Amino acid sequence: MRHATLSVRGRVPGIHDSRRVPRALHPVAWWIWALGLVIAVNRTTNPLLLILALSVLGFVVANRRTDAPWARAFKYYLMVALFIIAARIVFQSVFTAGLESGDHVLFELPHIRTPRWYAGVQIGGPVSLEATLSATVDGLRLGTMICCIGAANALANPKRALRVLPGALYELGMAVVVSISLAPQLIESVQRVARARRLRAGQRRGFRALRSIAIPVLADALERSVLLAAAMDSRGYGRTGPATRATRRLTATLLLAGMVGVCAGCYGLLNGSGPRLLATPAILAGAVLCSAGLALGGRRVRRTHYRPDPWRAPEWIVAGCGLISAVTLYFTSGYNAADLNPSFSPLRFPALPALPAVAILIAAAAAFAAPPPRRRVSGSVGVPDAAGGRIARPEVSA
Amino acid sequence: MIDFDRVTITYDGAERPVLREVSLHVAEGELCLVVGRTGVGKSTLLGAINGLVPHFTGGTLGGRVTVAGRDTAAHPPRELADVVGVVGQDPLAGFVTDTVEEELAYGMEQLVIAPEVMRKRVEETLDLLGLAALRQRPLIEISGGQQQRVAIGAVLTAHPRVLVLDEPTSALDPTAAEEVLAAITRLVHDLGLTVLLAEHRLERVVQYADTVVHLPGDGTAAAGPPAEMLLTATVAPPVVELGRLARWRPLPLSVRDARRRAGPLRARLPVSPPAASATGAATGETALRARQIVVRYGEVVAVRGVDLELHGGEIAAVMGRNGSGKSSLLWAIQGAGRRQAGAVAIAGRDPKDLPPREARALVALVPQTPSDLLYLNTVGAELAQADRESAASKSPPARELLDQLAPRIGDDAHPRELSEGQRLSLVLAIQLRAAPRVVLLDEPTRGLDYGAKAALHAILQRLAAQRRSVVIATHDVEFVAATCDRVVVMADGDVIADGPTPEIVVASPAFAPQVAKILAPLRYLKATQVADALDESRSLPGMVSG
Amino acid sequence: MAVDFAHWGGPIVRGCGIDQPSGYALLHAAGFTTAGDAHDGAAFICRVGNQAFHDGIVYPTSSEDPCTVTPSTSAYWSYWLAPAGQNSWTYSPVGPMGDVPKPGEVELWTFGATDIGGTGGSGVPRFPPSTLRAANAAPPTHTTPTRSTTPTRSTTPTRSTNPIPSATTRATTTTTATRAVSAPVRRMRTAHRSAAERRVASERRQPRRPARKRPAAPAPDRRRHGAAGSAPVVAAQPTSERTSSGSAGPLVIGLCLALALAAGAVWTMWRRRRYE
Repeated sequence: MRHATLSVRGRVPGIHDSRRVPRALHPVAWWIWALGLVIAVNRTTNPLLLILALSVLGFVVANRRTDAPWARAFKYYLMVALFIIAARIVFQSVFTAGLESGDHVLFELPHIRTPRWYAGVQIGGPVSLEATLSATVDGLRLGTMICCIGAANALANPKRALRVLPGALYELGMAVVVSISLAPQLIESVQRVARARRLRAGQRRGFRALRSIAIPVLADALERSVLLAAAMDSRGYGRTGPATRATRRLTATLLLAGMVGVCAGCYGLLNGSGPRLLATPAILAGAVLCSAGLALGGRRVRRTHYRPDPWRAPEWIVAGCGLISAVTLYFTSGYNAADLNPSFSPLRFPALPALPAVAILIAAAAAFAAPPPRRRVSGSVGVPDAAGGRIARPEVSA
Repeated sequence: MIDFDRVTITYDGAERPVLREVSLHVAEGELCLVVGRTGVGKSTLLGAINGLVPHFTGGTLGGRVTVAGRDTAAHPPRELADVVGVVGQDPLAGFVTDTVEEELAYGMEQLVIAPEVMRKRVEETLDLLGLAALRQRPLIEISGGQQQRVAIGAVLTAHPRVLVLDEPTSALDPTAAEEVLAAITRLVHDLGLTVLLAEHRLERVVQYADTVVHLPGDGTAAAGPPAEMLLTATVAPPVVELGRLARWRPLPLSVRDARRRAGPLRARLPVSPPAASATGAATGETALRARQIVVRYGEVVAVRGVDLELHGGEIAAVMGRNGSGKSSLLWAIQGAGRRQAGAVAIAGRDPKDLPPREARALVALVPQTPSDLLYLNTVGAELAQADRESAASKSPPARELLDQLAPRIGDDAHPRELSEGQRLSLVLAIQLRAAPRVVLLDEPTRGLDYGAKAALHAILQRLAAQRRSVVIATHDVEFVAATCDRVVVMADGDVIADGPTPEIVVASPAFAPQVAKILAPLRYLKATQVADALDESRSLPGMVSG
Repeated sequence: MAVDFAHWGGPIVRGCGIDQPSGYALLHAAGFTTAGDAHDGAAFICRVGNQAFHDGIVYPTSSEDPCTVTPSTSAYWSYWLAPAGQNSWTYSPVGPMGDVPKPGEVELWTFGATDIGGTGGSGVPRFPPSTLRAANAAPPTHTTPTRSTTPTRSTTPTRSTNPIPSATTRATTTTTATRAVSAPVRRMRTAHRSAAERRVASERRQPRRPARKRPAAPAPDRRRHGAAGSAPVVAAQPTSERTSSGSAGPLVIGLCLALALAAGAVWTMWRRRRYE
């Protein structure tokens, strides 16, 4: 039945093609794609390009996300983006910086005079259309960047993404993986304890109520984490190779120095007032030191990978799409850079520069290039019962 | 394989050592059962095998523990991971990854095993433990028994020589427990693994054991064949109690062995046990009336229109597998849980419509994890808080209640440091302070040893004597047979059987207590009944004892 | 107010306004076009231009500063104030949107590398406010075009002689002050201005190469010097008309593309739900 319907006329070729073997794309490829889009979106305040980017994200996520619970979180990122836009509009309306001639006034808020020493911030006053639109687009840009990260989280299993960290950061990655795993248990714990509070007539509000929930939950979490640590220790986690104290100190020094170099270089690059000469060499030197530190530190952590994700042509294509968008919008050649940042006063229709639009649309090609996701085996998705156990649905298999 | 050479273990800050001069030898390929009451040091003994004690838990280790030639003092647990595999009570707390397959592979990744070898071993382990159909499933979605098997498989992929299990079936229902134990015995027999197992519910495992290590509680340990050790052990399953009573030598360990020897005993005993002292069951006055309770979680119906009626002084048990709706029913009756439809009347009022303070005075619930209710720093503070919460009730102060339930718990003890049984007693005291008419307990016997269960039995008898109604949701057939007057069996949200204990538990082979299975068709449920009957028969002239 | 284009070899272009709500509005009312930067919006002035200098090209150009982020402190438009009665420049503590020009105040925009405290750098103005302050004591009846705005005057309660129109005469609407760009310009006179200057007040002024750093007076009837080393002062020209608001075509195309993708996403989700 499934295959028959897949050959319905009018389907998008390549996306639901049953000839392609479903597998999970390498998580780093998705992250490169998403970060490329983040860089691209960061460069523009053109609302058309931003909306295009959002729809590209939605398209790719809808087509290539898996069925795992974490993959359904993209809509929460969209809600966060909406909230950001709303917050920006509210802040812009209340703390307006002043009206220009020619602005269309929407409504007036009561104006609160600020003392001279606080001047520069105006509370209340008229709210103009231009200011509101400008705030909307600003919020939209930030929201789109957050949705890019959300898309990466929905498309790439975060735990598998953390597994590809270099050896020196393995323990750090492990800590993050464990905390991701424990989060749902923490939530379940809070629900259980909150329900149990009713048994004890604990209807105190405020801080006391917090204590009667927080203490059992935290104690529970602490016990579980001790059990987890014991289990991981018993299974061999943390076997170090031949690393002496001196090696470890050297690794830490290299990493720290590298980080400092990279930070200083970034600061120099972004802040034009410092000596520019030092910026790029600092970044390069910092990167080299960091790599040396990671390599040295990675030598002592030895582990193998079970079924590592391969890096094949689809990964290159997906990563390449993201990078193309980033590069096109970063180096503003071939189109008018002013189109990327349309003016709001005077208010005019935004232009749609061809090259950036095409670059963002190319990012949507990731939905076609990436292999279809694996479908989960149909079975019971247990619903929690009162005791925290699981009630299987009637059509349970195995 | 495993050698304990005059091992003494003392924890930091403890006055007395937990284990004192323990010397043991566990040969290769043995299934060794560690028995003893709660708190005698079973977990310490098992932890010492792979080095968790003292490397992880702290403490002082005197003497030597050698596993497969390696000294645990020189090797922390992670270096013994390829020799010893440890499985705990809560499998979910030990899982690191998302899915079954990744969990099985995780241990091997840490041991730097080549990827091809890893794949092969994962497939073998999936087949060995019957998990092949579950390989892609997320770990939180599989049942308790399957999770425990995955936990065993996860340590098995490292191909250890020794497997250590610390109460693996205590959180499981009987069917899941049977699955896990069957898997373990197959491992012992097929793979030649050395397995050490600590368990409270000995009736499930004692027949499979080759050696029993008994810790009497003074820090020593004695090892020997099961039939010998259990003759004088402080804890014993019902079949062993019966064997001791009937003086069968050597001691039978399984129902089958006992049944073969039980012929003469069956002939000697009267058909029905002497009438038990009435616990006031069914004295006419209805304490709880629940009608057509429906509980749903989204689309899933947990309880479908259940009716329940209880009389004062009655102790009822609700039994059924995990997921049959027992807990949901109890929470719905209390009013704190969801109830989509149905009415509950206790003294004419529905607890759901009342504020919690008043609902508590009608019906009290002790949840499955009693420590969810404890949030203060000391026992004294909890009791004082309970007194404040239930100031209006007419019951004695909480301190008195606690002393009746579990003596010798100091005021300045931290609630989290109490044992399972003591914590249960503390929460029960807190809930009883409100003087409820109906007391509900959700899985109270989990994690309790026989002594604590006997104490709980006494507590419940006292409650019943005070004309309160008690409902217990449990899996433990032995406890139900010993304590409860009435059994309600649930499956899939419906009540499939409801009647006096002797009828219900004897009717089905899965639910029958060991004594009933051994002495069938006689209607004996517990060894004490047999003891009473033997005493009576001894006291009657003309009956031959022996 | 005045804008110093000396960085590009241009003059100081001077204009004025009455009752402007902010320095930003004053800048625009005097006939200047500005552009903000992409990061901070219009409020952070990144480019300024006027018809009186190079036909209104806004400086710095895109090649000098792309104006995507806040300009660096080595090259930006700094904002200086000299309230009435003060003969030194104060580095404005607030931006143009927040500053309310007082009657008699002179505001100056210079381009350069002023440091944060306004104490040093190439952007610090090297001439006192008096060189720019309107000192015209004559009534504005000299030039007929200003008759319509005669009643609007602003007082200047300072020592320097100045016929800066008083602000007390607010009877006329301020719209004339804002919209009639050329009128205030014409009224800014100094007593030292040559009659020739007054004559050409209403004409478009031709930008001339400034005679920099020459303390001597330049060509007599066209320019007016400030203090030593400053560029000549030129009156600001009104801006050209507002540019068109662009076409809605790209907007429609962009929205259609986005909708197409969104429809594709919704269709995929519907398929998924149906077959799961």
